[in-house]
Amino acid sequence: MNIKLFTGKKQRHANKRAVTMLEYLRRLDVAIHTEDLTVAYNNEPALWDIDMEIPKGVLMAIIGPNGAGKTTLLEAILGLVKPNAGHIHIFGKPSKKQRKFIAYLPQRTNVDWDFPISVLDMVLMGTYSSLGWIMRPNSASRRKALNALKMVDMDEFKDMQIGELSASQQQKIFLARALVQDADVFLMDEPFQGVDQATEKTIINTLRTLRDNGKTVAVVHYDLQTVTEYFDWALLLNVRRIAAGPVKEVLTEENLHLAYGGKSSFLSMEHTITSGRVKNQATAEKKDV
Amino acid sequence: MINAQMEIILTVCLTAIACAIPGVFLIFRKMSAYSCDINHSVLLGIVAAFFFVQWIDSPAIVFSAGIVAIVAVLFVEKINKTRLAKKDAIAGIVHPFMLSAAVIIISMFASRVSIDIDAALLGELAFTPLNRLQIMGYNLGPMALWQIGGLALLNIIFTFIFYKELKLSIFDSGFATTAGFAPKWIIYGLMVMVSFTSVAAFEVAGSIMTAGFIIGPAVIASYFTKRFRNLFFIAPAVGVISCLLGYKSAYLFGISIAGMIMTVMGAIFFLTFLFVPGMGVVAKTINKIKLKMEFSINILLVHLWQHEILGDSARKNSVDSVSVYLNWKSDFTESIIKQSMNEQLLGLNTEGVLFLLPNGKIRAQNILER
Amino acid sequence: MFSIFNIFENYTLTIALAGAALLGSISGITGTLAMLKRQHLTVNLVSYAALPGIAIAFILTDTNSHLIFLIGAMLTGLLAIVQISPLIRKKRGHQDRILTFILSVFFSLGIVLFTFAQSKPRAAQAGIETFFFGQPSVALMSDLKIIAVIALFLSIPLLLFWKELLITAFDPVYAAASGISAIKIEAVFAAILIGNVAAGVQTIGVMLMGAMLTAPPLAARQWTNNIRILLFLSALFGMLSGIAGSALSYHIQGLPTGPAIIVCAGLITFLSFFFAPKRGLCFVYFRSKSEQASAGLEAILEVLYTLSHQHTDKDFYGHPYSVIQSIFPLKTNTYTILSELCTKGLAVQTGRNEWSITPEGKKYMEEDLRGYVK
Repeated sequence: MNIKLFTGKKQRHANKRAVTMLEYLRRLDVAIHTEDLTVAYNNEPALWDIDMEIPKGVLMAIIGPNGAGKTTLLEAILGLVKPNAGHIHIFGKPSKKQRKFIAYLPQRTNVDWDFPISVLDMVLMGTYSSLGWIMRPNSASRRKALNALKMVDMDEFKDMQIGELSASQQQKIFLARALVQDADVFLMDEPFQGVDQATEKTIINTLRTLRDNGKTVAVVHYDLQTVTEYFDWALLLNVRRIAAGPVKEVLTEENLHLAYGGKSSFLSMEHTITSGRVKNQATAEKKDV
Repeated sequence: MINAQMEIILTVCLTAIACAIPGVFLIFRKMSAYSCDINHSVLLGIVAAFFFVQWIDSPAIVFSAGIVAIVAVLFVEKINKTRLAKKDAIAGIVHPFMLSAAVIIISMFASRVSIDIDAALLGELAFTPLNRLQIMGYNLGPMALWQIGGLALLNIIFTFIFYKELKLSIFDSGFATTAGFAPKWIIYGLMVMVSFTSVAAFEVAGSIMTAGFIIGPAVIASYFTKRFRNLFFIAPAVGVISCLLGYKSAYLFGISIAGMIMTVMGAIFFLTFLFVPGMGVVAKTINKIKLKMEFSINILLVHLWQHEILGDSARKNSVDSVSVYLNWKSDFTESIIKQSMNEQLLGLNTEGVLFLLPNGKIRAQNILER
Repeated sequence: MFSIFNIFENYTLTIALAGAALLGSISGITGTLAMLKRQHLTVNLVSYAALPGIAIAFILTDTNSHLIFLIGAMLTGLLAIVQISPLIRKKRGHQDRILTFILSVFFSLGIVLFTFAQSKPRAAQAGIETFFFGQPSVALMSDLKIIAVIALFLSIPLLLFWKELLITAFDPVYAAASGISAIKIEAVFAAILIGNVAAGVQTIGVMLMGAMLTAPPLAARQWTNNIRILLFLSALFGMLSGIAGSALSYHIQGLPTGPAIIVCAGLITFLSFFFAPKRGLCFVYFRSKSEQASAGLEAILEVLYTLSHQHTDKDFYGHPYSVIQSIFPLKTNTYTILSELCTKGLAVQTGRNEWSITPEGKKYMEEDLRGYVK
């Protein structure tokens, strides 16, 4: 079998064609765009062929059942996990060099709360990446950190050791740490998990403020009840993309059944594929108008 | 009458067996560090006993050393409960402290406590035939042999009797408590076993090497079986084999016997780690590559199929551009395509576009159905 | 009698003390990092791995040069870390036992090599015992120079990469997401660790070097929650242990330096565990005598109840946190207790930082009091 697949000139030509094809999707009013994204752990797919986009300036919920790949999606965007296939673009450019525009708020679990740092120290950590080597946090960073703490109502606690806080307060300073990063996109993994009512209000108000200031916020969210109330945009996943768009459009009975229901509820494969694409293009067209 | 060499070999093999058995329990639940820690504290116990009993082979020594070791472990537990620090940090100072105290006492009271530190740390295996057990005028063999042999027997019996309690306490202590056992005490019992075994093995293998004797065989055995029960047969076997091979080489080169045994065990571990079918690194890597290739083929097939349905296959399934769409490296794409062709899953038409063969179509359909 | 002046009159002793002090300080700092990263086993592994390195250096060069031994120790330390680095990233469950085993193998290899070396006629003599526990307080200027140079070298990556090391130790996921290369930082830490251990094993010994890195930070942690103070105290405790141990070893015949230093470090640690304010066990004991465990809940509820009597007109008058805390004696945990009371429905958060007792809470207190008054 003699396959000469990739001769120089032909390859470049083909690449150029492919690149222009992708071009139309890489519009600059899209914060994050994935195409054909497939991620697998031990060759078990966590995300399969995800085409999705997060428009600029929305407050978006990423929802789906357990194991749907929601955290994996965030990790792939951030480069914490390597995709098996597909592209990720941030503000129109390949994701590798664009990570500085994103702030990440991971799940709260893996931190050692006995760590000897104060609340202020921890929030200051968010400024480190902008400081470069050797440089210590200066007064500008401190100001930023204190402002962020004020935004989440935690400025009174700035000198407390982080272990002395309650779970809700810890979540709030996690948020503050993400806020100092001067990012344009905020990715958060279940920020409302385990917090009390008042804190939940504080957090969602902060997120809304971010959105009103033109930032893009995408949140992995577990509580279907509050999605409509809190978010404008939604992405419904279950390893495959089920639906994406304004919340009302996504949270239809049919979609939820597809995501959370059993295998038998799947429509024929072809319909799923085509409907996914059609929806994508319809959404694209809507935004153009 | 067996000769001196045989006695040494026998002693050291029995030591391996005696150590391997509690070792099987110790490798779970992060208890492996105990093997090392207990050895540090044991020296202090030996030293303490020395103040009262001047003779190194008295069973009182074994007893007191064992007690001190257990006390040290309990002390670490107690402080750990206060949550002021993590367990391995606490152990990281408590046991060395006791070891240091022991060395200081030996240095300062050299007249009363005549322990050769070297021997304590390295074991004095070569001398075991000299130290014989005399009962009623009958020369029954080296003291060490009887001691460690007795302990080996004790360990086997203990394990046999309390097998299910031990197993439950380690793997599911919550259930053990509700079932009426007291897992805490059972684990303490295990620690007692390890302490006394360590002391007896000390004489043979010295300090850190005893730790190796305890957990090494179990670690190696864990690569050969997933059944808990089998570990108790494989681990001692590994220990004995290491002993025989190690002794042979040590004898040839005139070097520390225990050290050589451990080195041999290390080599066995290295080989096992790499080459054991199924769990070894080599097998795992091969498997991983195979799975990755399979998965990548799946990705390719589904991609082809989707675009055949959508109708833009001319553009998206072209053999040159498919690597760009999937964001794969060229060489990788080439190998995947070749493999798929080998498996009769796809073909290449005259316009340079890949198309699915019937088998490929079926496979793609099956994938999406999941 | 050790008078201060006697100590410094003696040149050799001064050198020994200076070397040990320097070693202790830098070990305190490296050890703090190791403690924050919870990598004590790795520390021990590198320490024990130095033994075969020294043995090989001895065999190959047939000299007694401390410098050569140092290099040997570094090389095998590096080898050990390289061997286990794939493990660190993989299954965390099996990691411990494999590490411990490899530690014992390296040590045994060292012993094998040494006994092999000693069985052949050699020009140089290096007794293996001195590497177990360190040399008995014989210190040369050259040793001090070596330690100083290494300390200087180590401070470079420590200063350069401190921020990254800290973030990676605290929250590795966040660090990776911030663009910090995990491998690079691990390598930096490994280099610091290897350098530090190699510098110390000839003084303190292979078996005890790990404790030298573990004890000072552990002690320091009991005194403070502030990382800068932690670093300072850690270095201080390390230095004190070094000086005290060295002096002790000097005055007692035949006592190796290592155990003396570790005993001092251990004493400092135990004293810290018991007597440090706030965390110290003595303080905890006295505190718990004056309050029972659940009294925390009752105490705060009582505070809220008393405060509510000042505002009988309103049902839910919120009291600021600062007021509540000033009345409540135990200064920590107030928030947790307040949230717990809220969950139980006995109190409610009425504002940004204000809490009030609920009718149910009032009822609870009154029933309780009724029992009391009787």
